[in-house]
Amino acid sequence: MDIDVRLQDGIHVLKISGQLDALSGPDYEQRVNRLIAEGARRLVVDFEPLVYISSAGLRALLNTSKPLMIQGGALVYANLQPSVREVFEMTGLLSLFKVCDSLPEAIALVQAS
Amino acid sequence: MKVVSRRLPAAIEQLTEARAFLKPLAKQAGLDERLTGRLELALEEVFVNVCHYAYPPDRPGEIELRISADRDCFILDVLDDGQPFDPETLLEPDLSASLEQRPIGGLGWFLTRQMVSELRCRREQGRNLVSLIMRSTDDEDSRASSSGHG
Repeated sequence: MDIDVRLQDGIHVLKISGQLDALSGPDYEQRVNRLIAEGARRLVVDFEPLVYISSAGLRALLNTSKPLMIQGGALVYANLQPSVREVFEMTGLLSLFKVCDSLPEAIALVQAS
Repeated sequence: MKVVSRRLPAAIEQLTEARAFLKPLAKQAGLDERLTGRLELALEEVFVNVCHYAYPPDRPGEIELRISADRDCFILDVLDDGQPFDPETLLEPDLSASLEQRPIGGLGWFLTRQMVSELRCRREQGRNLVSLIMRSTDDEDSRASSSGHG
């Protein structure tokens, strides 16, 4: 898994590629929570190049969403591949998280919140 | 039915090796990319569970992966010599809970059941055996009904 971070109009846009699993989950959690600790409050997570997510990956998402929500932040996930979307759907995360089909849509949603 | 097996240390870092064992055999058996991806996910969930719970921290153990396949059915067995485990006793996760209320974790077995055509767990000669069964003729309906068995 790789994380590419850029700042666009005050929003942290994170592009996640590869696999979010038991091996990479802790790394994801640590890096995103560090961004939040450093003051990031508005995040878009672009899953376009993410091809795989397991329950350990979902746990990393939950472990990063919770601290951000407590801080009153906003987070939107964008561009879920069908296999990732299926896992979101099965586990109820599709209704739990804010999810958009495109990056501009996700950025607009974070700006509006 | 030809059976191929591989023993690995029960450690999360070995997940890469476990996948590398599964993928070419799944391809060889004619399993398509989507079903292979589902099986890969089920494998991770079971593998990680064994790594976390089967052996005491001071007594590391092994995981055996055993694959057998025929034309319509691909079986991936995950075996360990650790303490007996019955996934039927695990509670279903509360999928309707809000983000704040939701406990971390607990989704692994749920996902495993959803991913495969059939999930079987039993003790075999003093070992835990989890069978992940994927039928190439499987469709969403039959998976939905089989996943209801717990």
